[in-house]
Amino acid sequence: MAKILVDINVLLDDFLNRDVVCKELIDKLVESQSELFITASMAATLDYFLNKYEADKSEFKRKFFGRFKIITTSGFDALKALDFEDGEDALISLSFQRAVGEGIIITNDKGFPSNSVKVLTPKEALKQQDIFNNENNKTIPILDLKKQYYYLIEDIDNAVLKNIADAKYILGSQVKELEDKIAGYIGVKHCIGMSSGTEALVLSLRALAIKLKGQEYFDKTDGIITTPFTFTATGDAVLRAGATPVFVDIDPITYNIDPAEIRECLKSEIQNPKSKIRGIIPVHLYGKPCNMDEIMDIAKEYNLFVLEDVAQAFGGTWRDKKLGSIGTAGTFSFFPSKNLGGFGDGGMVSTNDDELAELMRMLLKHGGKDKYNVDHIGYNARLDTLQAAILLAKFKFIDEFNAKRRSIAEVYNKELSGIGGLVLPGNNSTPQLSNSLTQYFTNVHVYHQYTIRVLNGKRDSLQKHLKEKGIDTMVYYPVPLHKMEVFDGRCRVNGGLKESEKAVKEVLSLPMEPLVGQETIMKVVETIKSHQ
Amino acid sequence: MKVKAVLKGDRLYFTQRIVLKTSEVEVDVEVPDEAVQTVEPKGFSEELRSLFKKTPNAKVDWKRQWYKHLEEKYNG
Ligand SMILES: Cc1ncc(COP(=O)(O)O)c(C=O)c1O
Repeated sequence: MAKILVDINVLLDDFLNRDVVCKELIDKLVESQSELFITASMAATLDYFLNKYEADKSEFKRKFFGRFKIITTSGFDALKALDFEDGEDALISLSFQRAVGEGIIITNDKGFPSNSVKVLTPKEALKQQDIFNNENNKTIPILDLKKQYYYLIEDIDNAVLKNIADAKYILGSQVKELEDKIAGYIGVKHCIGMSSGTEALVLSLRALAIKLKGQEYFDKTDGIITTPFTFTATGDAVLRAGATPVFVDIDPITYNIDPAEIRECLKSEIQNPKSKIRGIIPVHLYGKPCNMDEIMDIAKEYNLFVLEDVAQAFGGTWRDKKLGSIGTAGTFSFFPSKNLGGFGDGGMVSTNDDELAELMRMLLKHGGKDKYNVDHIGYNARLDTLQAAILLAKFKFIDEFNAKRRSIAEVYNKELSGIGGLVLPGNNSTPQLSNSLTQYFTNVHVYHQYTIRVLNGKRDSLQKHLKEKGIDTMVYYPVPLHKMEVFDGRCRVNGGLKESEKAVKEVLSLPMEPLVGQETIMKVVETIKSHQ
Repeated sequence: MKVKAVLKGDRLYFTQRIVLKTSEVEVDVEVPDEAVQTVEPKGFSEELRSLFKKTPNAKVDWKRQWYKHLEEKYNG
C-alpha cells in the first residue's frame, strides 16, 4: 500500500479550480487503500481558502481528515529546509520523508525538491496503476504498527510533544488519568500503572504474599496454578514471587486453562503435605475469556486468589464483566503489539482490593510510601508518563479497534470454515445480540490473535507456504512452559499436559491488523486454500 | 417464526431475544423501499467542493488570489 503526500496545489486545483485531472486523481486515491497525507505546514493556505469561500469547516474537517492524515512539521525539518532554494516545499518533503520513509509526493510544482522521495505530477500519478492497485501489498505483516500510528498520528504527535514540553517524566498527571480512565472502563476501584505486564504480574504476586502470608515472598511450598500454554512471563513471575508454578492442562477448544483439570489438580494437591495451593492465574489467551464462572467457583471453594492475566485481552468480557474485574486482581500489558499497546513497555494492575492496591503502589516505588524510607523489598516499576500519554491517545480507539478485530475474525471464520485439516477458534464466546435495541455481548473475544489449528503435521509447511507468498504468521507458543529449562526442577505438573504439548505443534496465528481491508484478509484466505 | 428487528446502518437489532439451535441461519429481510437510499452518493471531490458555500460555480484561480493575498499581507 502506497504512502502518498498530496500537495496543496493539487487539492486546491481539484476543489476550487475544478481541474478534471486532479479530481480524477483525488477520487481514485480516496477509493484506494493508499495512505494519504498532507503536512501541517499546508494548513495556512488551506485555511485561507476555507475562510474566503465560506466553507463549512467542521464538515470539511470531518470529511477531509477522515481520509487525509496530517504530518507534523518539526523545527528540525525547518532548520534543514532553510538550506534549500524553496524552503516551503523542502519542509514538506523533509517532514514527509521523516514520517513515512518511502513514499510518493504528488504535486503540480515543477521544481519540487524530492529529498529522495518519488515526486509525480497528477497526470503521471494517474498512469501509475500500482498506486491504486490494492493487491499491491508485497507482504502482509501479522500486525502493522506503523499503520496504526498514521491512523492516530495527530493525537499521538500531540501527546508526545506536549509530554516532552511538560517535563513531568515520572508519574506525571497522565499516569493517574490513564489509571482512572481504565479503572472506569474495566469497572474496578483501582488501576495501577506498571513498567510492563511482567512487572504487573510480579508485583501483584508479591503484594498477595505480603497480604496473605505477612512475608515478602511466597515460599517454594506455595503452589500457584496456571497454564503452561502462555507467554514465559506468566510462569516466570510465579518463580520471581518465590512460589512454585503448578501447570495444569488447557481445554483444546479454547486453549485456555481447563477448569476440570484445575479441580483434578486440587484434589491431588490436597493430599500433598509439602504443598499448599494459594491461587490460580488464568490467562485469557489470544484475547478469549477463560471460563471465569467455574474458576471463581473453584477459588471460592478452596479459598484461593485469582490473578487474571489479561495481557492479551484488553476490552474482553466474561458475562458482560470486563476481564480484569472478576478475579482478586488483573494484570495488563501495554507491549506495543497488544490490543492497547504503547510505544515501548508498559503494564497495569486492576483490583477492587484496597490493601493490595496500596501495597503495589509501594512496591513499584522501591517498596515504600516514601522512597527514602522503605518498608518492603521494592522495584522501580513505574509506568512512564510518556507511555501513559500515548496510551491515553490510543485508549479512545480501543473499542473501535477491538470491533475491527472481531470483523476480521468473522471474515476468517466464514471463509476458512469447512477446509479440511483446519480447526478454527472456538466460537462459544462470539458476540451475541440482545433482547433490546442496544448491542449486548455475553463473552467478548477481542482477538489479540486469530489462531488456527493445523492438523496432520502440516502446520510448518503451511507457515512456509504463506511466508513464500509474503504472508507473515506466528507460532504462539512453540514451547510449553514446563518444557523450558528455567522451569526444570522449579515447577510441578498436573497429569500429562497432553493438550498443551499438542497445541504447540499445531497452532498458527494469522495476520490480525485491525486497520487492513477485507481484500488483504481474503488474500490470506486464498493462500491458505491453495496449500496442498 | 416471524420476528421484528430494527435496521441501523448495516446492522440488524432484534427486538426480542432469539437463541439459535445452529451457529448460523440465513434469513430474508424485507426493507421498505422508501427507507433505501437510491441516489448515487457524491464522490469525495464533489462533496468537498460543495462545502465551499461562496464559490462561483466555475473555476477559481486560487493561485493568483493566494499571491495577491501574500502581497497585501506582507507589503502592507
Ligand atoms: C499472556 C502474557 N502474560 C504476560 C505478558 C508480559 O507482558 P510484558 O511483555 O508487557 O511484560 C505477555 C506479553 O508480552 C503475555 O502475552
